[in-house]
Amino acid sequence: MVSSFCWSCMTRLRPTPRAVLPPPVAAPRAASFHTSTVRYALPAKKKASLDGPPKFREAKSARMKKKKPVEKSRPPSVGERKALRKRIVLSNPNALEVEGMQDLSSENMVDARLRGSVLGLPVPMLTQLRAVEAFKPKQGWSIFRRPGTVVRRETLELGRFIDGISNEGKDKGRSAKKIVTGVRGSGKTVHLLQAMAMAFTKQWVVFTVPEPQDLVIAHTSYAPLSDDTPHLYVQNDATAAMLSRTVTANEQVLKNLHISQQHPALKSSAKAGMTLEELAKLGIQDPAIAWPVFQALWSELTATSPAPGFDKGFKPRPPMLVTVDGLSHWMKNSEYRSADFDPIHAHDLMFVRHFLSLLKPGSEKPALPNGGLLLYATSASNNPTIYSFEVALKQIAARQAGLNASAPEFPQADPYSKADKRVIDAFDSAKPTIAKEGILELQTLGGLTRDEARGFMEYFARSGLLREKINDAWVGEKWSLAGGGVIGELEKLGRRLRVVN
Amino acid sequence: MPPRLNLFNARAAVPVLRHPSSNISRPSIVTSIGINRPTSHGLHPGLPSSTRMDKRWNSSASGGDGSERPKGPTEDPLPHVSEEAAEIAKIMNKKCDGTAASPELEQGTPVSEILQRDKEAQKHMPKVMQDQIKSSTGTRSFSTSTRQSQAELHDQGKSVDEQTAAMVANMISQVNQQAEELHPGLKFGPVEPLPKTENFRTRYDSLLEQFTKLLMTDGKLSMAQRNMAFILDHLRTASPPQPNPKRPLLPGPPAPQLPLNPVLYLTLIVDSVAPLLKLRQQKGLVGGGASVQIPVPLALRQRRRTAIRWIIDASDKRRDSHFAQRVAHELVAVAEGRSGVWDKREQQHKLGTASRSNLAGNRR
Amino acid sequence: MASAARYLGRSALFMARRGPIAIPYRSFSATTPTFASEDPPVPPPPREPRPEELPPVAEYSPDLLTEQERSMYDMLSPEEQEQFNAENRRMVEEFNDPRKRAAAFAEIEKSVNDIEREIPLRFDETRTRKLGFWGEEEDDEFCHVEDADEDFHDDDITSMAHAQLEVHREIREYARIAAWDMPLLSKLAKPFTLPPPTHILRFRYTTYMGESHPAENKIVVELCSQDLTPKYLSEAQRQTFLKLVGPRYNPDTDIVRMSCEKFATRAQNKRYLGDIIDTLIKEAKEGDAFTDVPLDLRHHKPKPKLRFPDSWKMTEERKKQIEARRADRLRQEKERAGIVDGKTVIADAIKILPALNPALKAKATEEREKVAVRVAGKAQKKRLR
Repeated sequence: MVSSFCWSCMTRLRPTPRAVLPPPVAAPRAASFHTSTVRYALPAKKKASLDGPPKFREAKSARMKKKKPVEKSRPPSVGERKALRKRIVLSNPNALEVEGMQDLSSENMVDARLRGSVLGLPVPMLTQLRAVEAFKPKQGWSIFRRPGTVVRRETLELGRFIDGISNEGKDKGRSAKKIVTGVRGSGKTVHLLQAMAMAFTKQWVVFTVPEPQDLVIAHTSYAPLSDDTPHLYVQNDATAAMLSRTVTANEQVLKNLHISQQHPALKSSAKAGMTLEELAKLGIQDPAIAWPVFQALWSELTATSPAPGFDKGFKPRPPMLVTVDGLSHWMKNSEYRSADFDPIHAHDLMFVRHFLSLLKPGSEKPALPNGGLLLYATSASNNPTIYSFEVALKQIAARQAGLNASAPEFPQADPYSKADKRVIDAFDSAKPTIAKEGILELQTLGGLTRDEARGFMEYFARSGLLREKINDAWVGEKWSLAGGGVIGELEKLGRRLRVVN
Repeated sequence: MPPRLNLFNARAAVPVLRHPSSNISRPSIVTSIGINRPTSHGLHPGLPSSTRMDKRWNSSASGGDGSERPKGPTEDPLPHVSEEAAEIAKIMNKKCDGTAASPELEQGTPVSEILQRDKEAQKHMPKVMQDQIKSSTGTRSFSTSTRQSQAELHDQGKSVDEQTAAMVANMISQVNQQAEELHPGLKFGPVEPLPKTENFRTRYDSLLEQFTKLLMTDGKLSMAQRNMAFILDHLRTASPPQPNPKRPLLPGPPAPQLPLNPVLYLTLIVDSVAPLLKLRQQKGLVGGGASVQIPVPLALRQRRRTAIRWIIDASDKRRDSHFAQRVAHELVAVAEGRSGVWDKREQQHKLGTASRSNLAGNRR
Repeated sequence: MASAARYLGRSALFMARRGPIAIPYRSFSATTPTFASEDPPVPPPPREPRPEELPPVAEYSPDLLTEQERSMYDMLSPEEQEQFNAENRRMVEEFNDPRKRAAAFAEIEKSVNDIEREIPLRFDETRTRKLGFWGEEEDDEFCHVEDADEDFHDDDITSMAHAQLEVHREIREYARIAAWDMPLLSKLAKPFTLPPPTHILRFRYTTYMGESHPAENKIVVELCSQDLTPKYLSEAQRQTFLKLVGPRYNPDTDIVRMSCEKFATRAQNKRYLGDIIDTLIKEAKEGDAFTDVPLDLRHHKPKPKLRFPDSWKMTEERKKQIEARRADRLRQEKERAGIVDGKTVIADAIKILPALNPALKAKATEEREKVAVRVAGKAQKKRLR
């Protein structure tokens, strides 16, 4: 409903005469309380600013009090903290010397009577072992007088195997490939260490990759291998580092071996009559050619006979030990990116590819033709979970148990799990055709037996670290507490001093 | 009532026998308090005495001088052990003629009392006791060191006084035998309680636990435990301390042996710098609203806490990058007498001595 | 204040004197108004037919019955059927006779009037009171008592007591049932026999104990897929079948479970499920085999069942074994030559090693000094000479 009171009507209202309208209010009509005239306050004068004219272009909001800079002491210098983190101490002068502790030697590494006792690592070998980074910082070497390892069943087997390959006999020139797994603290890394120590006593050549993770986290330089293969990448600095490890550790062996093959990739720098040590040092001095140098060195060490023209002074090559500790980092995409910014799979890195290709059986000659041992360990503490790798390990175990790959019980990856085919293929090695080459095996390390655990705990007590009576009941208790003799847990129990009072 | 002597209490004299050397420093124990009064000093179990024995010991102590003063509400109102034993024997033997089963149980023999009034007997009393009386001047009659785990401290010096220990052990076994004969109702001996560290809740040494908890920040216990492990490992592996003769650690095994027992090492360090007292600011004792300082004695745990706090605070000034390393280095510095914690302790004690006069005001 | 009121008043007076303002009215539309046409007259309701105007009913015969009635009729015994026929015939006859029909209708009319007179119907609407926003005047529903009779004669128990009594009666009724009727149920019990191999489907009905429930008509069917082979499906076809059923398959128990509550009745749902299974089997036999698609079990998360290993089970044999091993260990422990004790190791080391024992060290240095002094003394002597 529209109001009948429309706008035009309003406008037609005549204006009210001025007289009737109230006069404009000048002062209040009502009687005020004061009789004096109204006076207003003077208009406020502008405050004279204390410091000169008004400021422009400055923040006018309340100024927050600045915090006084906290007095800080000098930050630790560059690399100090990392050095502390990576420091490896192998001796505690306060610990007691264990009487009658034998050193590892070529004689006693096959001695079954020593099972359960602790064998010391020979002091001259420690520099070699340090060079190949066999010791890890979190291991408890630092509380004993000198480093030593327990002889357990697996150690003896390893010793026998290494002894068999080195000595003249039917086992000479054999090679084996093992992947070492086990629960956390079960001694996988120390097992590799023992293998290295034995290899050094037998004058083998030892190649190690102590930290596979370092190769895939994009901390070292990388470059495409060549223009023909743009999807493959080399890591020259890492390769040079490995060459330097190898040279430092195996100096004595490499000094006595001379070049016996053609190395077209190295052109003129590889001269005839060079020792292998000098050859390897080429790569250390110039990391740009580290990868070809490594390949040359590898081909020299795997040579069974000299190439024509290099017959002079050819010595048979020693067996080799190759260890990798913490394999699962190599089973996924690395942190590197290709030119198209696609992630690079770890298997596309030449370094990784080389060591993984050793797992496959060789076609005409074995992967390690002069015999030797591949020991690749997994890690249980710093370990990405990779489903396809787990399946691959299961498949290795099944193959080792004699299952055929086409059998229905053969473990297969779940087809809907997006398993990485390359990983499974990398471990999918058929039975080797060459007699001396072993099949890829899976070795699972468990706990120590009670006797071995007793020997280990006695070592603690005789070092003056453990003030307990090492009797059967006590050892049994600790053995059970350590999850059935897991050696890492035993070590924790052993170094915990208990004061009974 | 004068303290009595019975065979249980006779052991109290043993530390006196065993420690002719330490008598010089603390000689007045026997004379001032009485022969059979066990002291902290007397709790010296270099001998293979069990916990059970210690307990007996304590009970006899409470009976020994507990009767002299009015009993507090929490104090055990039970009679003296020997009296109790005598009563039990009376009940068991059903002898109503008033004679006790064995004479020495009827009442403790007040040897010290006899000796005091009998000059003749004083001449013939054991030489040790005579020595005690002679050299009973000057030094204080209390220990200023925090000693709880003395058992372990003196474990080392076992061989030194093995003979006396054997003698004492012999005496103890005799007394035990007698006690067993007195209690025919017991088929088996009382069960010895497990050591404290056997319980999983208290599996760590008490000092170690306290230190760990004080290392903890933001409630991260496992981090603190890791730091503690580092510190203990450092104490174990660092070269043994070169003790400063002016600031010696508490008596314990010689310095080169300390790294073999890092827990003991740590205990010695902390206890050596633990202050005896703290100063409390008290208002209203003097007029005008001014506050005065009053020395207040600290209990064992409080003393240790103060010392640990001092050590951790002092470690903050160090320049090592890791917290645990700083603390570990500071601990070694304390052991070698280089640390400022020692000065702090001395200062505290000096202030405490100076403000003793304020205590008189407190009493008003 | 007073002055303000005064001058407002004056202006109002002025306005009043001017007289009313003429406001011209103008409508918004220009057309003349038209009105809606009147509703057509409501025809009077058709008159109810008089009883005599009703058509006669056909002669009775059982064939005229409806299907339902017929089935009821067939269930009767012959004598009863005879009786039923006679009764019906008589009723039809009475209806068809106009005099009797009129009498009957009159009687109905009369009784209806009687009832109306006795209980007059009132159609006065009770006015709903408007409640305020807070509804304060509202009757409290919980105040309503069952029996609202005000006059209580002190001759009865309270209503609550009655309710309690009612509960007791109910309990007793069920107790009677349990005591007298339920034992009779055992007569109906049948011994359990395993379902024959032909019965591979298990249907589940749900009853909600007499209450109505929206899921009452739901039927669940379960079948074990292994039961289908080899009679209905081959192994390969069974795999196809499993792929077809998808997430309804539980690989742990090998059971396929389906349900249906589409239809209103249980029978329909059951029929539907049966048909579905038939279709699935048929499809598995004849349709695409899906050999290129792997069996998808992602829907199923296997529950890890943690169990102690079987070797830990304590049997007599195992007990003996453990005992023997323990005895063996004890024996070995006794035979063992030296038991390492950490404390003695340290004590021995302290006795021997001068590095640990300052006393030994002091002795050693003393001896060394003695030698040195002696040498020095000799030298001095020499010099004296």
